[in-house]
Amino acid sequence: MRRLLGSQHGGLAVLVLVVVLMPFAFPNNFYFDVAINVGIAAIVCIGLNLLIGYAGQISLGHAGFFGIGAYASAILTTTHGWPPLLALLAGIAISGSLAFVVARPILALKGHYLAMATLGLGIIISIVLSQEVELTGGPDGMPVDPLTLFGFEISGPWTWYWLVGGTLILVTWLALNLVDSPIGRALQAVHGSEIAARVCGVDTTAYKVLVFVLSAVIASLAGSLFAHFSGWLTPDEADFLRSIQFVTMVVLGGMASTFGAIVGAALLTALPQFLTVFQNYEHVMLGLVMVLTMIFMPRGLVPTLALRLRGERR
Amino acid sequence: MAEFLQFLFSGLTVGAIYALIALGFSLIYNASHLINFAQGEFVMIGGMATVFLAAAGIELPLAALLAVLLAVAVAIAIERLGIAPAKGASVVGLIIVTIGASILIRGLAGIVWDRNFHSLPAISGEEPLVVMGATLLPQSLWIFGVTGLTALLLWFFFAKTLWGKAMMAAAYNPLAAQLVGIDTRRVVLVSFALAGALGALAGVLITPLAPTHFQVGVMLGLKGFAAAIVGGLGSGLGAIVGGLVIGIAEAMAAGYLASAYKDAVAFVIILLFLVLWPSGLFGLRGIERV
Amino acid sequence: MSLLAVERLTRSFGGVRAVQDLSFVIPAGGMHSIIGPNGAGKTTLFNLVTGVLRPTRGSIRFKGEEIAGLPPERLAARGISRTFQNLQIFFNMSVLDNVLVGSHLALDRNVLRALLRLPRLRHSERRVRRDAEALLERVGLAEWRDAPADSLPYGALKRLEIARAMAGRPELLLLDEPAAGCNERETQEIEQLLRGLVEDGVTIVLVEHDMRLVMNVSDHIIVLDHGQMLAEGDAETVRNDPAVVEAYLGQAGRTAGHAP
Repeated sequence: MRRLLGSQHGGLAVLVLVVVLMPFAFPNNFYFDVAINVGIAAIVCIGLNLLIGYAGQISLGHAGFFGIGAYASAILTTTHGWPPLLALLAGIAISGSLAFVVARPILALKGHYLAMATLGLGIIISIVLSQEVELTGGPDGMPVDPLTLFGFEISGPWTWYWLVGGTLILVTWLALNLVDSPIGRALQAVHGSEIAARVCGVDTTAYKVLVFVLSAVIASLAGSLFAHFSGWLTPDEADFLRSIQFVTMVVLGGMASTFGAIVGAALLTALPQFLTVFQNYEHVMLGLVMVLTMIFMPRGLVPTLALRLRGERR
Repeated sequence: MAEFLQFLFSGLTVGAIYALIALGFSLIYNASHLINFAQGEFVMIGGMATVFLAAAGIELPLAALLAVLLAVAVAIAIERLGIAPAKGASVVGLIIVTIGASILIRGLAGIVWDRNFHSLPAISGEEPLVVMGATLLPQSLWIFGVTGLTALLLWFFFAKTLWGKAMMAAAYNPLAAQLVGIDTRRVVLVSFALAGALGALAGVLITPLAPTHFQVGVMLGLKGFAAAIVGGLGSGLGAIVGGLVIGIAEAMAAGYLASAYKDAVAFVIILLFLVLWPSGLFGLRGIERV
Repeated sequence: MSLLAVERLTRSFGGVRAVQDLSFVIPAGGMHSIIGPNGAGKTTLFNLVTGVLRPTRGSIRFKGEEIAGLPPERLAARGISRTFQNLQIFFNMSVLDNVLVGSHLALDRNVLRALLRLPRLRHSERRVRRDAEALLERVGLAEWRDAPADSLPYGALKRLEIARAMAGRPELLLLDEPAAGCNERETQEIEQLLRGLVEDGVTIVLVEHDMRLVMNVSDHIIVLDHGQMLAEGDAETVRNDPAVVEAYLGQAGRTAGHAP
C-alpha cells in the first residue's frame, strides 16, 4: 500500500479504482451530487496546486477564472445557442488570454503583494459578473442549458459522474506527468530559489506565466462543467470566499501534492454536505480548519501522512 | 460645483474610515511584516457589538467603548492563538491563518449576533449642514475629528514616547531591538491590540452612515488594505493619504461614472499601484518585490 | 585566448561604488581566484558577470561577445554557471532533482510532450539522469540521491551546489566561497573536486577566504580592494606584493592566522 501510494502512477491507479468503484456504493442521488461537486473542485485544486504548491506562487483569485469559464458556458449556450463544447473552449480561451496578459506584471510581485494583486483581480472579475445584469442576470443568477457533447445530452447522475470522474483522472494524469518532467522541476526550482533557477537556465518569468495560465485554464474548464451540471449560476461561484475555499483545499490536502489537492477538495466539499447539523457553522468550520491546519499540519494531510508512513517503516 | 463638493465630502468621510483601517494594517506590518487579513473583522465587531450592547440596554458611549475593548481582545487572541503558534510558517501559511481567523470570526458573529443589517444613531443628530450647496452630515465631522485626533495621538506615541520609539526600532531592525532589550513579541502584541482598537473605532463611527452586518468586514478590510498599499505599507502618513485617495476615487467614480462599479475602483487602483508603484506614495524602498 | 574579458566595469549602489573601473582578463582553462578583504566587491563582481546585477558602466565579454546586462538564464545558455555564498539550494526538491534542474537546458522542455509523457521526452531524460547520477557520485553524494535536499548536512549542500552548477556543462564556473564553513577534511575534498574539474577543461573562477586553498590551487590570482584591482599574478607574485600584504594578507594573517 505504501509503495503503491508512494509512486505517482500507483497513486493514479488507486484514484482510478476509487472513482470506478465508489458509485456502486452510493445509496442515493445525493451522493452522486456530492461526488460530482468534489470532482469539479478537485480539478480546480489540481491546477491551483501546480501554481501554489509546486511553483510557490499564491493566488487568492482563482475563483475568478472558474467564474469566467462558468459564465462563458452559461451565456454562450443559453443566450446565444452555441454548442456547449465550443462555449467551453471559448471560456478556456478567455480565461487563458486574461491570465496570460496579467501574469507577467502580477507575478513579478511576491508574497503579500502577489496575494493582494490576485485577490484584486478575482474581486474585479466577480464584481463585473454580478453587475453586468443584462449579460449574467446579476446577483440572482441565470439558468444554464444542459450539456450536450457530440449530440448526446449529458444528464442523470451516472452520466455526469463518469464525465467528471473521467475528466478528473485525465487532469490528474496530465498534472502528474508535468510535475515529473523538466518543466515540473523548473516550477519547483522557482519555488526553491528563483535566482538559482535562473542561473541554471530556467526562464523563471516564462514558467510563472505558463503555470498561471495553465491553472487558470483548468479552473475555467471546471467552471464550465459546473455551470452545466448545476443548471443555475450565480456570481457567488466567482467570489473571494470561493477563491479562499480553493486555496484552503490545496493547503489542507497538502501543498506540492497532486493527490493532496484531491483529498483537500473532497474533504472541504463533502464534509459540509454530510454534516448538515453544522450548516450554520460552515464558515466557523472553514476558518477553524484553515487556522488549525497551518498550526498543526503546515505540510497538509497527504504529505504529513506520507512522512508518518515512511517513518514507521524505519 | 455643489455636486463635486458633495462627492468630495462623501469620499473624504469614507476615506477617513479607510485610513483608520489602513493604519491598523501598517501597524501590524511594521511590527511583524505580516498582513492581517482579519483587520476588517475588527470594524465589523466595532459596529455589531455596539449595536447589540446598546440593544441590551447599555448606554451608547459605554457600549462603544466595550465594543472597542472586545475588538482588542479578539485581536490579541488572533495573535496569541493563531499567529504565534504558526511562527515559522511561510508567507502563504500566514495569509491562510489570518484569512482563516477572519472567516471564523465572521462565522461566529453570524451565529452569536445575527445576519441582519443594523444601524446606530448619529452622534450629533442627522441635521445636515449646507456648505456651498452641498450637504455635510455632522457624523462626517465627527469622523474627520476622531480620525485626525487618532492620527495625532499615534504620531505622538511613536515619535515622542519611549514605548513608541521602541516599537519603531523593532520595526526597523527586530534583531537589534531584541539585543538592546526590547521585547519584540510584546511589540507585536501591542500592535495587534492597537490595530484592533483602530478597526473597531472605524466600525463605531461608520455604522450610523452605512449599516453594519456580519459580513461588512470583508470589503472594508480589503479597501483598508488597498489604502495601506497606495500610501506605502508601513507608513502612517501613507495610510491616511491612501485612505483618502481610495475614498475620494470611489466617491467620484460612483458619482460620475457608474455606481455599480464603486467597489471595483479600489481594486483597480490597487492593481495599478502594485504593478507600477509597489512601494506606494510614502513607502520605503526594499519592498518584498526583490 | 581570453575566455572572459572585463573592461572598466563599474557598479554603484546609491553613491557607493562596489566595483569601479575594473579591468582584467581570464584566459580559458585553469583556476583563477579573486581575493580581497570583506567589502572589496568580490560578490558584486560575481553578480555582474553572471547577470544577477546589471553594470552601471563598462563591458563584459565572454568568448569575444558582449554579455553585460544579459539575464542569468541567457548566460547559462552561453556556458556560464555559478554557486552562491549563501546557499541557494532548492530545498523543496530531492538531491537528484536539484542536479537535474542544473541540466535544464539539455532537456526536452516542450510543454505538450511533458503533459502527455511522450517517449521522446523520457529518452532525453534517461541520458541526462545518468549524467546527473555520475555527477553525484563524483561529488560524493550518490548515497543521498533520493533524499530531500533539506535533510543534507551543510558540507554536502556545498558540494550539491557545485554538482548542480556542473550539470549545465559550463565553460566558465564561478564558485563563491565553496569551502566556507567546511572543516579541514571537507575543504580537502572540495580542493580535489576543483582540481578534477580544471583537468576536465572547465575554467574556474574562485572567491574564497581560505587562503591555503586559494594559494594551493590557483594558477592566477586577482586581488581586489575597494572595488579596484590591487594586484594580479600567480600565487608567488601576489604573496610578495607589498600592497597586498598591507591591504589584505597582512590583515588576514594577523586576525585569522592564515598568513602565507
